[in-house]
Amino acid sequence: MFSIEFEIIIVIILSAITCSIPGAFLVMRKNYYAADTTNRSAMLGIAVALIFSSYLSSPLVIILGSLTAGLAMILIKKIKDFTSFRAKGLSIIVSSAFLCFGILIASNFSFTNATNFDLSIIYLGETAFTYFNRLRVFGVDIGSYALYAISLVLIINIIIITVFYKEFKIDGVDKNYAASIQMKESTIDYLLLIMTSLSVSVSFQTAGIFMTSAFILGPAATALFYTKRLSTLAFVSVFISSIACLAGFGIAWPNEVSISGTIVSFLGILFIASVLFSPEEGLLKKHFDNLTTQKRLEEYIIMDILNSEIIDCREKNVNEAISSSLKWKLMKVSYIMNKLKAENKIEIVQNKVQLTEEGKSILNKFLSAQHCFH
Amino acid sequence: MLEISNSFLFQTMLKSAVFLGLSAGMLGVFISYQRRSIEINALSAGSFVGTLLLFLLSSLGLSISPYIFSQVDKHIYSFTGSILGILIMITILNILYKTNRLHPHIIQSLMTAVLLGVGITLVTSIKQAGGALDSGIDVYLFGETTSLTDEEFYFLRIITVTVIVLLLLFFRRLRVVIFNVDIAKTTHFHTMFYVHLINIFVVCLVALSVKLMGVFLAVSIFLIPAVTARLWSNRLFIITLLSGFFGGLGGGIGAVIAGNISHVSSGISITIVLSIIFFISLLIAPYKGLLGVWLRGRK
Repeated sequence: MFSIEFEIIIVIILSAITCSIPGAFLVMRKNYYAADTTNRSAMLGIAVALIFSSYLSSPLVIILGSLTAGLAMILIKKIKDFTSFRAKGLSIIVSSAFLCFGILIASNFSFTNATNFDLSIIYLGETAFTYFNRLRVFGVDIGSYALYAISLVLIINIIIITVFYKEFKIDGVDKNYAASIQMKESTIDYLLLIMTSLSVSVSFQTAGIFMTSAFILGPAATALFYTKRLSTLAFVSVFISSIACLAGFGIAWPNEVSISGTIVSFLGILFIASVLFSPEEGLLKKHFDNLTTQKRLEEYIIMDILNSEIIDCREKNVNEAISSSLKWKLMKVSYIMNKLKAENKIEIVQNKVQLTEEGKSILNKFLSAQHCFH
Repeated sequence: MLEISNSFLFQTMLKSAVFLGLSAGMLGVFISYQRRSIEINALSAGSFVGTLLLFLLSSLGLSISPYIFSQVDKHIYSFTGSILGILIMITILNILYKTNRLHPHIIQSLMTAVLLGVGITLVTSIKQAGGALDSGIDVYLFGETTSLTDEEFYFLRIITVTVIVLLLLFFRRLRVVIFNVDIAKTTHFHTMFYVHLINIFVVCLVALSVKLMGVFLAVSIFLIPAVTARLWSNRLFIITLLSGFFGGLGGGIGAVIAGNISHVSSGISITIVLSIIFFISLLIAPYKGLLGVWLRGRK
């Protein structure tokens, strides 16, 4: 119907959007281990499904994969309630056990033993192969199978979120309030679990079971630097994931390197870039803020010393007196004094350095703001 | 079906897995009490990227064709690369923890997946350049015990025995440090020395276990024995000894299975054996297992 590139890139973008929607809510709920656990434990279901069916794009793969992912999460919750260990460590144990049993089954008992089928498609993803599983209605080719499966899951995700948006918001922001209005936490948990496991098991062909956690967490974690509203968070994470997909595909396709690897590296680059250059919480902004606040604090300290007149305030040796009492360098003190003089905060009356009225009012305003001085 | 053969390669595999299991299990207790056990995932992914990057640089800069490298050179390069990758990863993670309001767990799982993506891109580009990586990607992902050379096996024995001896020697000080650093600073010994000692152990053992267990399952040989031993007792010294015992047991049985069945990588079989031990002791352990709780409840 379409050209190969167009169809593949639509599949990639749709699967990235499908993953990033539950990711935004997972990050809000601080339920991080769900992303790692679901995509690793989906391997067992995929391997069991491969015994019965001979190709990866079959509904059995999606159903069994999401079932085992859900089973792993419920098992972790039961063990956590029983032993009171931390859930993240238990999730690593359970998910790696599921993963290893899945790989054991897939490499020994499924049809891959007979044919020469490369299992690394499941681990690392190969989106180009989804093009070859076509869906036919009455003999007419209507597009690849993965396109329809992914859009079905995307529609399910969108329906769940629009129906239960208020509950998600309340539960994500304030758990105590949610408990006080008798809202059941477990329903939200199970809804999120259904969304996550379905989107993982449908999009493992794009990113592979190991890199899907970057698809889930990466856009939401990047979007947290730019917004604090939940609805905006979902839209911004969708936008970021589609940008990363377009850029990654554009570089990977002509150079014939791994598409999923390039997309995930782009997600990482976007994350690191927003850690550094984000306008509200970036490292550079914080660094310059710290510098300016430190300089202003130094000015206030010198103004306070001049105001209290502890030291000798004659014009000749005021700089030396301040620098010896504070143990600062003379250059720094004279620089700050010149700056204060230029800003009309200090003046010289009868060879004595004093604060002006303006400087006194600024200093008093600053001191009254600091409660510890009172 | 399973029989222990006397061939040199098999003996090397078995011994290295047992040594690594012993030391990693004992160290895993200290790491999991410091709440850093998930960090190992990210560190192993970092070592994966470091290995590939140094390999790429060396094959580009030092010789015309990558085929000229002898086998020993390759292994030395990969080991230094993995240690460099882990060190860079530790610094990046520490910067990200301090400057973010995100939870450390989210940073760790995100950076793991991202670094794997970078690694896969590098692997495919190296294959494009000239097919230097003749072995498949599975060796990197799930480990291979037979990939160790004689020198590396010698090195592994020295490192693991040193780690075990030092952990037992400094046990009382390390117990205070992992319990609370601030309390440890009030008692008069060099706290930061012990903190860095644990870090050095982590760097060495992760670089070794990535070789044996693979990028994704490297965390399991540290974490699973520690949590299993936690089910059996509540005293730290007994937990440490038990954890080392479980790690060595799982490593040994896993290596035997991996040597006898052709389709299984060593990391997968070791993880399966360790998780079976975990689920069995969840049933029968006296302290926090089902059986122990049931017996205590009946009284």
